[in-house]
Formats: sequence, C-alpha cells, structure tokens
Amino acid sequence: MPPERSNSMTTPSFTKASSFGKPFPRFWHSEHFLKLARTLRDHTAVFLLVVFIVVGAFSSDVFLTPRNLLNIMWAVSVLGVVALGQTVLLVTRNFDMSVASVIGLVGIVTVLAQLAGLGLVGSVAVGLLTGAVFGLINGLLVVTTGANPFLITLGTNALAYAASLSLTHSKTLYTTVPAFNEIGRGKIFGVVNHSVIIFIGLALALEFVMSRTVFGRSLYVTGLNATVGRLSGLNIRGAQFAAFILCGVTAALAGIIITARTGSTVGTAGAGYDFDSIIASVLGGTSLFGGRGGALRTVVGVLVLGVLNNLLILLNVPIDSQQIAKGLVFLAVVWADSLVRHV
Amino acid sequence: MQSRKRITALIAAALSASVAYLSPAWADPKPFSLCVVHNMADHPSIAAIVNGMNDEAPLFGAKITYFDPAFDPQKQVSMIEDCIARKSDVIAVNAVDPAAVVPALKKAAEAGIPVIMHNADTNEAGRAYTKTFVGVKSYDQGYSMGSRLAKDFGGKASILVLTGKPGQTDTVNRWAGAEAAFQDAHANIKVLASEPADWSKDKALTVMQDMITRYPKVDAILAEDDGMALGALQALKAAGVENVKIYGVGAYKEACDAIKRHEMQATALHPSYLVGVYTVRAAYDALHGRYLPREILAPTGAIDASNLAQFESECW
Repeated sequence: MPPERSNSMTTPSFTKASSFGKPFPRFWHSEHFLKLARTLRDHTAVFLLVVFIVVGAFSSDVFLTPRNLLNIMWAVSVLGVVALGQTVLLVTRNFDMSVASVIGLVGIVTVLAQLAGLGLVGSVAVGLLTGAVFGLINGLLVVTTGANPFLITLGTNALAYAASLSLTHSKTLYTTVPAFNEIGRGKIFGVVNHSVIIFIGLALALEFVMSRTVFGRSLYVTGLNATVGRLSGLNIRGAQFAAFILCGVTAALAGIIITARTGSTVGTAGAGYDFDSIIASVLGGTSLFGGRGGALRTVVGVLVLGVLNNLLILLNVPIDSQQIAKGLVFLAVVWADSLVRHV
Repeated sequence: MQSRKRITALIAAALSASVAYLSPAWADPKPFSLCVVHNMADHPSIAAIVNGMNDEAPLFGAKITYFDPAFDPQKQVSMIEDCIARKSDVIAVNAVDPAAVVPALKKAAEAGIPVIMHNADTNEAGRAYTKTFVGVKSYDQGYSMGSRLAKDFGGKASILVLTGKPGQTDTVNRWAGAEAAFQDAHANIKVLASEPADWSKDKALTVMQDMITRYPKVDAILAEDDGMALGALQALKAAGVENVKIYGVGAYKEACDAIKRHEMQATALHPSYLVGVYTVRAAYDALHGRYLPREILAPTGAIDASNLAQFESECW
C-alpha cells in the first residue's frame, strides 16, 4: 500500500478479532468460498453477461435482433469511453470524479470553437485539449499534494461546472458544423455507429498499451506498490500524470460524442458518468484498490450494464425494481472485490 | 363616435396601467436585499427566470444574490440558512425537495424574513412559513398536454411516457395532470411503458431507442419536458419510425421550431421569464406587508402549430 496517502475505502480485515478476542469464523471466510469468490470475481462480468443474454433471448422477441444489439452498443459507447479512461486511473489507484462536469464543459467549449469559426478538426482538437488540461490539473493536484484523489477531483468537478455556467451564461448552444454531428449520429457502411467504432478501437489500443508496454506495466505497479516501483526505477509520477491526462481526454471524447448526438450542449450532460464509469470498470474486474484490471475487462463490464439497462426497458420493469436490480448487481461485485483483495 | 370613445378609454386604461406598473421606479425605491436559492442554474428555464428577475429588480430596488444547490436538498437547506445569516430582507426559494426544505423555511419565518416560493413549491407543512408561491402549475401543464393528446386521437391511443427524475414535484404533478385529463375526457389511453429520462435529452434518446424497439407501433409519446421530447424525436428519426405524435412541456425554442416543422405535435407553455418578474414583485409586496394571494400563477396552455405565432415570443 502506498504510504503517501490513506485509503478511505479499505475494508476491515477478516482476521480482526471478535469482541471475545477470538477470530470469528464465517462461511465466507472459508478457504473454499474464497477460492470460489476469486474465480467468480475474475469472471463476474462474463458470467453476468451470459446470464443476461440468455434471459433476454428467452424473455423478449426483439432482444436478439441485430438492431437491438447495435442499439445496446450505441447506447453504451459513451459510458464505455469514459470508463476506459477511468480504468487506467483505477489501476494506478486513483479516481476521477471530475469527468461528470468535464464532459459538459468540453461539449460547450467545442461548440464555442465552432461558433468562433473553427471547423470539424479544429473544434474537436480544442475540445480534447480542454479535457487534457483538466486531466493535467487533476494530476498536478493529486500527485504534488498527495491528497485524496476522490476529494480533489470533486473540487475540480465544481470548477469545470462553474466554467460551463459562465461560458454559456446558462444558455443552450447548438452545433454549427454538420460533419461534427456525424460523430454521434453517423454510421459506417450505414450499420455501425461511429461512436461504437471509437469505443472499441480505444479499448483495443489501451489493452495493448496496458498489457504489452513498460509504461502500461508501470501503471499497475503504481497501483500495487508505488514505493517498490520508485525504487526499481519506474517513473511513478509520470505514470500517474499520464493516467490523469488520459482520463481527461476520454471524458472529453465522451463530451464530444454526446454533443454530436444531441446537437446541443448542457453543462450537466455528464451527470452520473462519474459513478457509472467507476461501476462499469469495477464490474468488469478492475479493482477499486489499484493494480488489477484492464481495458477489455471494462468493455465487458460496460456491456453488462448496457444489456441490463436494455433488458429492464424491454421487459417493462418498473423504475424502482430497476434500481434494486442495478444496486444488487453492484453490491455483489464490490463485495466479491473486497473479499478477493484479502486472499 | 362610439369607436373614438372606445379608443380614448383604451388609452386611458393603458396609461393608468403603465403608471401602476412604473410607479415603484418613479418613487426611486429604497433598495432591499433578495436572496434567491434556486436550482440548476444552467437549465435554460432557470436562466429565463433569472433574466426575468434581473430585468425587474431595478424597478423595485431589489439587490439579488443567487445560490445554486444543484439538486442537493441538504445544500439548499444550508444555503437558506446562509441567507438568514446574511440578514436578507426577503428570501425566494425554488424547492429541490418539497419536504426537505421545510425546516429551513421555518427558521427563516422565525427570523422574521418573508419567504417566497417560486417555480417549485414546498409541501403543506412548509406553506405555513411562506408568503406565496409564484410559478406555473406543473399539474396544469400535464393536464393541458393530456387533454390535447386525448382530443387528437379521439379518446383512444397507446402511448409511451418519458418522465423526469422519479419523485420530483414536476415529475409527479405533470403526470398526475395528464392522467386526470385522460379521465375527464373519458379517454382510453393505454400507457405501454413509462421510463424516467431524468430531464436529459441524451438519456431520452437512448431510453427511447430501447422503448421504440419494443413498441414500434405506438401512437404518441408524452414527455414531461421538451428536452426529452426532442431526444425522443431524434430516436424515432434514427429508428426510421414515423407517424408518432410527440408532446412535450416547456416551450423550448427548439421545440417551438420542431412544432413549426410538424415534427412535434404540441408543448405546454412555461413562461419562466414571467415567473422571475412576478417573484421580484411578490418579494417587494411581501416586504411592504401587502396582501399576497396563496398562489401567483403565470399562464400555461397548449402550444401547437395553430397558435404558435401568438406564443412564439414566450419560447425560450
């Protein structure tokens, strides 16, 4: 555990004594159960995905239609892009809560760039740069102060939201470059949405970088044990900076896709993406405690959420039951995650 | 002769009205502080309210400070407490949660500061501590869309519903109004599915894409706000579904344009600017101990292609 900051999310150790001073034996502390939990934990998302798809196939006649499956991909692509950035950050044992407002801000900045006369490439570049700058600020604050990234990024989240408000004077802005809207609405060969291609392409690229490059491995070491990493000559600070900037850029990409989809901006466009992206990553198998996870795992995690959302709507499940279903799935996964951590 | 008399009467009426309207400005009003705790300042509707307040404030001498709790009921309570601590002359509150705000309203009343509710009211318990509610009845908006929908389909239709955040005042009341209208019209309106899209255009777009996959043969979509109605419109276009009538609430500029293009059927008027204007006037009246009615309502009603020209100036 990196000594430089306390982790507010640690769970009590299992060997902790009961009030009688003896270890408290429980079924879920037994060797067998932990082994089962670890196997399940490593494959939770795949397991859930298969279950949901089977349920969907039998309970809805439209679920397996190509159009519905493409709809699911399209619906999750934005969350997917955000979650990929969040995954890289989680692996280094950091969080970014500012994505919620950076998404809205980037949409606004991008459209302002268009209103100022920039075209497709120019406005997108300005948008991505805005995300990178916020990532850099987050990285600087977290790395130099050693403060809790959760709280730091909640702070920058407020700043990004304030910037959105003052830039727009609370008005809705509309995109002016038709080619830009195609990022969110257009389809390759008239079948697959651009945003889906962006999501999958980004996932493959990140999976390669994270698993096959020195930089990628240094991300994991940063999350597992920063001191060991530093002593073995890895650039731990650099890895953290890069992860924050990357997360800012993916949030920016998501903001651009949302804005292109709706053709208009709103400062709260990213509301909910902060927690949802963390949920999707953790669901996929990336640990909240750093050092474990991967981009393709997150793709599966995002798909689980997407299929679940889609099914709940197709099956006409009332909203309160929808929330219960989502809550239970997440609690089960987080519980398994914290159990496995102590194995 | 008759017509000249009428014109004279009209001019006289107009003059006296403008005198009544402008008199505070002529009197060079004594400035008073107005603490506004609203919600979600980047929403165009709230922005229109703020514009109305800012335009009206100099006429009545109101010096306005704005606080935005951004949908957090607890933050709203502490912001109202800040207003009390600042010894504001009047406080205007747009309730995030009708019940959660009550203790703060009580505190303000005990401190002798008059409180005006605007845009979203408190509950029955909270009304004991407030002077009036300025706003548009979301129930009436839902009712006008419901009766419009029932009329358009001769009392028989199957519909999909997009609601706001579950539990919020507007979410509950707009739907209650629509349902009451269906009943009053003795209409057989079948709700195939109802999903929350949390007032978000993007969420409405993705949710409606799933709903329309399940129910491609729907007659109409009722959305509790125009942003969601526009998101639904886009989902229908993407899915290639046609001949579905879409109803919204709010009279967004973009929705009024869609009505003009016959892509949306109707929306309910929501004159936010007037809510801002009326709130400042009510604050002035409350401070000077004038009688205030329990409710001060800005008008609402259906806007469709036939009367759009008349109401277009109220689209924001």
